[in-house]
Amino acid sequence: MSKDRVIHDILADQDIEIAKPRSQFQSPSRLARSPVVERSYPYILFNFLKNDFVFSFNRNIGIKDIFLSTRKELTRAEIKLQDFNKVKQKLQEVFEKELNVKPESIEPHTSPEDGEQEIIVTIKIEATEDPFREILKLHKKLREIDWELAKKVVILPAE
Amino acid sequence: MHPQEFLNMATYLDSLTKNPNQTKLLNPEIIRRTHVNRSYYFLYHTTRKALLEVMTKDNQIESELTTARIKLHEIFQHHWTLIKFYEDLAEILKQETQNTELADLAEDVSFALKTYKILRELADYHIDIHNPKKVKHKIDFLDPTKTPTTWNLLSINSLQNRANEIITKTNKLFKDLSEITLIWYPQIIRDILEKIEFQLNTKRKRTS
Repeated sequence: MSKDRVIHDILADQDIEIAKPRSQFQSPSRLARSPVVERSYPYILFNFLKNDFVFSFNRNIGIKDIFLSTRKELTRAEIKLQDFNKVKQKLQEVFEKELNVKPESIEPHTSPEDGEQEIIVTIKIEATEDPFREILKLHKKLREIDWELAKKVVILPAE
Repeated sequence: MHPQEFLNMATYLDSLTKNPNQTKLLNPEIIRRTHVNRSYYFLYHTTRKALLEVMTKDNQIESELTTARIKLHEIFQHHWTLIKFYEDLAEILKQETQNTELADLAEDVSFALKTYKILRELADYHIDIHNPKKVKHKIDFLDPTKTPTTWNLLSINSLQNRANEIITKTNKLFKDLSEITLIWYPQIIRDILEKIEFQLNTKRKRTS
């Protein structure tokens, strides 16, 4: 047994605090505790990437989701105004030729709450107790013709 | 609140508007607008409850979501997340399994919610009142006889039918999902929810 070890045991038995080397002191500041290299810019950049990007990888979200998380990605369906006329024309054709229904109006609708966009197509519906069944039948047919287009469309009765 | 409470409110408001004596005393337009609002909330809460029940009952989904630390209740507090969940599920089912029957079930629920959500927005945000000529799909809140088909959509019977359909379709969707061997459905659900959670956080950051 070494001499140092004996002194350490005696002090410990007498409940006397044993001085620790300076490197073992725990400063309350996290920055002071970290080595100088950690405070450098590359480390800050690394931390930023780790917290903001690598975290996302851990959650099984691909790089595409991170870099393409623009406004477009955040909405279910966004229709640009210049594209709307094309969509409107296509819808008009599909409704008239394939579904045999003449739409009364085709208008874009943006939710005032979450900004989600839909296209409202109004059509004349026979007066029934539950008109939604008729609406749903039409929407199902539209899905068979063009699924992507149907996703954006909500059908309402024209009065 | 329980979904049934929203239906009770809608029923009460509906009965108020049908009683001409009481309607004269109260503001009929506000009553009808609130009726539309409560009708949508009834369907939203019915869907949310049915979805949460079916997901928490499934041990495999439950364990997958616990591992990913996904808080279902927090995610589905937002209306668009509920619609997006069904839309994304339909999209994946259509693409990965070619099972259009199941994809249709999910899309049906999403479509019903979207339809009633738009009706609610027309009611809540007075979209058609300031410029009634411009908007053709208006609901007449002052005289329902002018837009009878739209008001049929909002009748209590119609709402109950919708709610029953949503519950049946959600249950069938999840039952049939577990029988598909082409995909590991808890992973699919986890992926959709993680993406929605990410989008939810990004939206929050942008608005804060």
